[in-house]
Amino acid sequence: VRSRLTATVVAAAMVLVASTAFADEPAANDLALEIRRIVDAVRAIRATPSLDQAERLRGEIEFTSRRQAFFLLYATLRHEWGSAVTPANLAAARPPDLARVEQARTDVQPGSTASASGTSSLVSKGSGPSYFAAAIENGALVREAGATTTTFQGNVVGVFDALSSKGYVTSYADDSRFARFMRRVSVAVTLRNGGPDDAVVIDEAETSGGGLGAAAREAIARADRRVEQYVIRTVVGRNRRDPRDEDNRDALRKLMDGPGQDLLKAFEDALEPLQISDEYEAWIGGAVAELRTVPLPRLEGTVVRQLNALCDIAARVDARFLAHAAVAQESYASFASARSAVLEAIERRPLFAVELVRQRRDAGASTLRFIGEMQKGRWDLTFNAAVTSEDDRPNGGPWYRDIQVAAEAGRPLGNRFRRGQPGNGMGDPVLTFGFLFERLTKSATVSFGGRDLAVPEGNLYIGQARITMPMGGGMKLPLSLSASNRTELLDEAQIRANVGFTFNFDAVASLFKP
Amino acid sequence: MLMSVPGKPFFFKAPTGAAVTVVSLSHGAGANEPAFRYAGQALAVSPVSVGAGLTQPGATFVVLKGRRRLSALAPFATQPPRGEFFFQEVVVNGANIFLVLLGSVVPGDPIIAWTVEGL
Repeated sequence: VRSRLTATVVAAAMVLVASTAFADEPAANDLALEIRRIVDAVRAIRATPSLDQAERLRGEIEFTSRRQAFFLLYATLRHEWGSAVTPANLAAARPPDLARVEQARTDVQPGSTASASGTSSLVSKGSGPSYFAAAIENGALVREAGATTTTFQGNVVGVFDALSSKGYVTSYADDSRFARFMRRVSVAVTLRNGGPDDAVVIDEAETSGGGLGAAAREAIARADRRVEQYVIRTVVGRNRRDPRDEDNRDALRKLMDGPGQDLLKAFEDALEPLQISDEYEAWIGGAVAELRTVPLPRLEGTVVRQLNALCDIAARVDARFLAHAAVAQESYASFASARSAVLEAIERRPLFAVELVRQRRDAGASTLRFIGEMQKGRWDLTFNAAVTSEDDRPNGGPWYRDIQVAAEAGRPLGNRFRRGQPGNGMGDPVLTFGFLFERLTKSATVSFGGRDLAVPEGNLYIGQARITMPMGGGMKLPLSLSASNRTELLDEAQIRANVGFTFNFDAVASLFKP
Repeated sequence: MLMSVPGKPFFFKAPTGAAVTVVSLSHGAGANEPAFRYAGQALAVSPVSVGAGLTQPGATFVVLKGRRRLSALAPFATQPPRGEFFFQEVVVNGANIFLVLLGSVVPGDPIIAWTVEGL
């Protein structure tokens, strides 16, 4: 028995360089971005004349009611630097890529489970994608012909939400008990992709009669033959990572009563004198009148000039305005930090799930798998225990075909505070170490490295290191290297590596849905 | 009840001494745990009946004379952080309960404030 190892050093090094090569984004980018949003809103209001046009314009520039943090930061930077934003800042401002936030998740399994051929996963995870994830995993990097599978996985309620055009998080507004229960359940179907060796024989009965009906029956028959496995997975017990869980509500209540109230007080101290002043009312009236009539190419400059005027008014109304503004920004940062701590604590809560995997290869087999997840520091830990029984059981033999125990530890690389932020290259790659033990009571087909192999009974150990690179647009590229005590699994000269693409529709949905 | 002022979306008037109740509604934005503040005082948040056997977290305050600031903060606990919080006034008229929209906040701008002028 030999162990063989390899390393995709070059690829990993490229990813590490990409993830760390970012430049700090100046606050001017945020200010410029917000000014551009204001200008866009003003353009839209002016493009659709209405009786309440002045009120709608006013709503965009009520800086003591909305965009308060923006205005306080603007006033502070203008005081310290003489100007807050430049035309160059306005031209260069780029919005954050929210899809990267979704891509940064390490607890979702968008690909096929450990049971499918062509998989690059040693373990199954408890969280399914909210919407629909399709993963195309190709298990052959170094062989010409490897099994290729396509996995479709989705949350039942989330798919219906998507079909009815509900937004990514609008769908979470549905708090019915049934909907909450169903959000725990995800289903997946893994199809074996057609290849030169996978010719499908169609019964004549399925194509008889011709026409569209026969064509549809033939298409269904082809799809049915390609189904390699299907999976039903559900979270068991309390979903402690749901922000609506009782414990999480308590934590959020403390957050809002403490740092939240401090933040409201700090903003009140900074903005109330301006808000209730007559000078503020006069400024709004003048600014609205100018925004209604100024030529569109001069809108950005007008907004900046009006902001400067408001900063001067604020300083006249309250001599301590700038000092209060600085305190308010510190409070805002404290609140954001405290909120991040609460949310990370929620992410770290343990999660338990169970899945039933029905394999249709050979004589057919069913796997019942228990899944546990927890976080330790930045490591996402996953434990699996599974038992598989075949439909065609021999008399007198054990009722199970194999028992599996697996563990995986994964953590995102890079700066945790830059997850999903602009300037963070392609995003953070995720480094994963996994281990699988499998005891086979009889010779069976084992899927590994994209191939199905007949393995004699006995114990099987596999160790794996994997690096998953975000590719943008919801796609990820996992590269893995493995070691095993069974040489039949690693029959290449020196190398057995896996490469696959996974695609998470959640990340794309977050881009297109409000 | 707060009386809106034409042309001023964040300005309301109300009789001094009137009790005003405001609630928040999380619309796809995670746990609904807001914070409120009026006239320099933190407001206690508690479940408020909004009819049909439903409750929303809210707070009640007594309107003081003159212009005062009413502000609210939403936590935004979703991942990815999108969604919207709506703030509404609860108006009870006999057996009828009405919800009047005051405004909403989005993740990048979680604080909203209004001016309430006690008459």
